[in-house]
Amino acid sequence: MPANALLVRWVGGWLEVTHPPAITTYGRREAFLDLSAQQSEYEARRLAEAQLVAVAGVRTATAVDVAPVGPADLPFVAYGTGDYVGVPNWAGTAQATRVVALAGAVDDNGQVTFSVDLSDQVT
Amino acid sequence: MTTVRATLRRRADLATVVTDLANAKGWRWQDRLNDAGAASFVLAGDDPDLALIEPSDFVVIEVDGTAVFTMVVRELERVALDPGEEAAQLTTVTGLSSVAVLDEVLVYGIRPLWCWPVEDDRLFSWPAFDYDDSAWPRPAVLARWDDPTYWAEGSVVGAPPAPTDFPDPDGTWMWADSGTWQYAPAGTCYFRGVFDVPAAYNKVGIYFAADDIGHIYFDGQRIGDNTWSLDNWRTYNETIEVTPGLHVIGVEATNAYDPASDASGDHNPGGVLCTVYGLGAGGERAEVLLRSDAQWVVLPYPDPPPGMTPGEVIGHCVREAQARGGLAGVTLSFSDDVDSDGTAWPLLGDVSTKIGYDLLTFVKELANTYIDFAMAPGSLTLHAWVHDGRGTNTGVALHPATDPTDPASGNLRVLKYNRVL
Repeated sequence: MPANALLVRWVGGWLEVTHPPAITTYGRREAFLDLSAQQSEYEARRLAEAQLVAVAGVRTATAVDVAPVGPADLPFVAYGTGDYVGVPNWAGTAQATRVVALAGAVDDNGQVTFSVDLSDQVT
Repeated sequence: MTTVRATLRRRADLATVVTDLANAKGWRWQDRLNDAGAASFVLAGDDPDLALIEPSDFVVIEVDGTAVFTMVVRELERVALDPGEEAAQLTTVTGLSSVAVLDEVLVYGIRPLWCWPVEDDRLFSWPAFDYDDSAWPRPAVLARWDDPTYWAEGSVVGAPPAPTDFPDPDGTWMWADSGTWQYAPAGTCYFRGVFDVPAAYNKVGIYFAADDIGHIYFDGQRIGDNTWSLDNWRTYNETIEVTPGLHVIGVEATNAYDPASDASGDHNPGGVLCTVYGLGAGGERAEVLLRSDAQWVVLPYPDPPPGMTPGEVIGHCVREAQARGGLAGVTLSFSDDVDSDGTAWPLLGDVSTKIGYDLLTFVKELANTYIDFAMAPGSLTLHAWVHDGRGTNTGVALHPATDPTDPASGNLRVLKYNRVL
């Protein structure tokens, strides 16, 4: 669930950090952010704002299994974790999307398969 | 056809292959962004390679001759007796990606373990005991704490002469040397004062006031605040149990904007007043150990606030761990100033974490906001980048087959989405 209003605990007390456009779009959705080791309000606010950028909107995780055609699209070699590759998005349009996890497997027959997680990592 | 090769290596000599794990089956590995990935493989129970695997060994996985993943071996699961299953003859080897070696060490406090006050949080910022303030200039001493000329000018005529309960008759106000006893620009300055507690004392008394607003830190921990007040302005004071040796007071003080005075440059002083006493056995103030004077240093009106870069923070932790004997062989491809691609780090005003967290957990915390990180495959070189800095736009396109009769006309076999609403 997206969150767009963070109640933040830091050393000096409590903060509320919000994402007004997301509140307008989705309605207010609150969450707690524990920054109880943060001693600076400035930094606590900056951390909370960075978190909101990541969680205030709808998130889409994409998972694909790939069969590379050759060296030019071979996972781990042509692209790796953190790189951007083109993949159809939710609407079906090709879009550069970041690789957040890249996996390989070898079966008993020596066949190598690859799977890729892209964009948001939803946990 | 894609080929995968995996080789066993000793951590102390990653360049040398102990054995080629050619008989291993069931290879699986996953590299995750800003996390320790995982890997596993299976060996027959009587495979001689099993006897070669030692604690902390690494397995380097190559795809078509390129090292792509390094696994640190963490667990062997051997089924010794299970007559119903063929798997009883197999041993499963599991582990994490090599960046997981960061979980072998912890974040320690700055000071020795026996020191008081006890640290709970490790602060990487300007009030920290080990912050490098060598480039900070000395402050200007403005006036004695109760100097009537300081308190009887301009807009504060008739105000009480300084905090009413300040105990040090020789206490002095200080500010950045751009300030005078009459006027200082509005804004925030940062002060640090180091002092030595003799063996005769195990408690100190701290007295502090700020004009207009001040936050005070002791050995990096925020302990209190003080705000100028026209009526009944009282000193902040605190007694702290300490061990003998060097300690540091940090003060973040803000001279508030005064519309009338600042427009004319008339009378709007900024000031910090602080005296630290060694306390006797009965709690009496026995000796002045620190006074707000030119022995301090000050960073005047910085923008952004002082702090450390992510490179400095990680570098501190890694070097400290290595000084304790941990993280053998780990090197950094970034510096205090630039990331692994040479991009300048941002300055972070306040990074802190709980003492006792393992370093991998702390670095993952940093990755939530500030950095990307990874260990280079086949080595113990730790990379770190400015957040979202790992990787490039490769131009590789993943798409379904465009010709239904030719599977090779596409490289995408399965495509799934998970949308969180």
